[in-house]
Amino acid sequence: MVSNIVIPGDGILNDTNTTKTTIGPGIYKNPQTQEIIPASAGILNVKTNKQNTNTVIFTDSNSKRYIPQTNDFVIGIIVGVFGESYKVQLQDFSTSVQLSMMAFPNASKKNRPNLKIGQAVYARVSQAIPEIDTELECIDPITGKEGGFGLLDESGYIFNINLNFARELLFNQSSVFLEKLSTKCKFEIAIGINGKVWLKCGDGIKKQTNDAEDDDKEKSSSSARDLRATLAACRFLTKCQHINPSQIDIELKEAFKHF
Amino acid sequence: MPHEQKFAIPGQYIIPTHKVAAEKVVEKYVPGKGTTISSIDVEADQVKSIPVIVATIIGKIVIREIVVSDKEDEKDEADSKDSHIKIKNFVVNVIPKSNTYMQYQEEVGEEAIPEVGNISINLPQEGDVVLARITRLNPRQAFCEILTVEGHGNVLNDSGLGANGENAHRSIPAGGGSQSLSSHTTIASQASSINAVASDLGETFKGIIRTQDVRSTDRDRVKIIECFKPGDIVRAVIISLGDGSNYYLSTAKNDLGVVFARSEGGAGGLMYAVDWQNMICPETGVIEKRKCAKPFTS
Repeated sequence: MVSNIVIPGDGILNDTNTTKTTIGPGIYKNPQTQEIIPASAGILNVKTNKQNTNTVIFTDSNSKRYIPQTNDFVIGIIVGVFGESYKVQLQDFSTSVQLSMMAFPNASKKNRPNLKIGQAVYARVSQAIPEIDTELECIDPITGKEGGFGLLDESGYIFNINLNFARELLFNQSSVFLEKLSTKCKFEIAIGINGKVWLKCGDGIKKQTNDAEDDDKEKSSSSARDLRATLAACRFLTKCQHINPSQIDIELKEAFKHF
Repeated sequence: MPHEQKFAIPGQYIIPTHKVAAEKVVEKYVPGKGTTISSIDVEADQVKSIPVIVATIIGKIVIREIVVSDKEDEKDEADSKDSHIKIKNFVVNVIPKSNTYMQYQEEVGEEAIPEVGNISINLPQEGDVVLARITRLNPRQAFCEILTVEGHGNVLNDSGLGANGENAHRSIPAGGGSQSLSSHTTIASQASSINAVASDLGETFKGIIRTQDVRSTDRDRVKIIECFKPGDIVRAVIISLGDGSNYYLSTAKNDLGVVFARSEGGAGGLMYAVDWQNMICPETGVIEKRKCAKPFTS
């Protein structure tokens, strides 16, 4: 594995003629000459397998605009319902994507999922071709079951983070952020590669009801605690995007200082 | 030809609808393209109205005799038997000078004969074979814009529609602004810039190719992305006028489908059909899936 910083247009010193090369994000193949060059500034990653037969090459760069790729796990907001599919927004001001009503476990023509506009879903990108609408699905492709996808309940809180921090949280096994957070509170989290995080501490944020006040006094105090924990956790994760790993403990303390 | 003047301007009287040519021969004139019937009031003993054929556009006057089929001939003869008068029918047309059909014929090397059936306004009609450019895809249909009607030339040039009307862009240099692709050869050429289109103004006629109209076999399992890509030039037939905003096109025939395409979304080289569903770029060897038109019809 080699790592160095490249800027768009740099030559890549890689023998692409002898090994089969797969290009990833940030790498562009010249359609006329079939040469590859970086198209975004960042850290160049070249990974070759042990037999030296297959190379994966991509650049790691920090961006905020999400471009769908197949197999990405994303959090989307339902913004429209059409006959057979939902229109889902993955990021503000991005082109919306399609979520077919048939792309849910046990769904059929008669048994449709009942999602409303404004609700959030955790889904997988099943088809991402630039020329055509991107499609999502809420089925695990291996088991054909739910697999953690589907509606994200309203007691959670959704906030935005940078795309590379989202990737760090989701894929880096040795990432310490979530471990550190778990020392302070109980939480449930869904991380979307599109830079959206759904977070819920304890029972999450509940709607306040007016009736049965006495009974709810205890409940509402626990609900308030959960709400504060959720917001603190969100603040901690948002801060973590920009800090040095050595500052994690300070930030964690800072975020949870009123507990 | 039984008329003296060769050219007409709008409002100019061409010929009365009926005329006695010789003894017992009456010539009857019918308005064709670029003409209409109007009446002149003549004050003789009393005011008399005479129907006359009037030009509505600038152009060359072409008068053709209508050859009636035998059956009608007999009927006509029966009608005029008593008086022994022979009736000859003519259709009067005015063909504009810049008729794209004539330009098209010049381009393809034929002698430009003013063909009455193909003059003036070349609006795409049901059954016409057209060249269209794919503009947008969605899983159910491909959107396109109609560039030319086969055998008629470019649709926009003298359709007289939009802000441009006929040849309004003549003074704008090629590639600049909203210049329309004014000929078959420009559309077909590799060098034609993607910018040089009237579609910039949204003035082209729009068409839709639905998944079920892409091919005639296995039409339920058509994947639109494996048949067309944005920017492809497609030869298609108009199956219906559709709604107000879109024609419905079909490529469900061997000689219909993608005729010109570039690889990698237009960034690569020109591709050629290797079979009915694959195209290859000979320079890079890239193979892409398309619904190809059979290159040569025999």
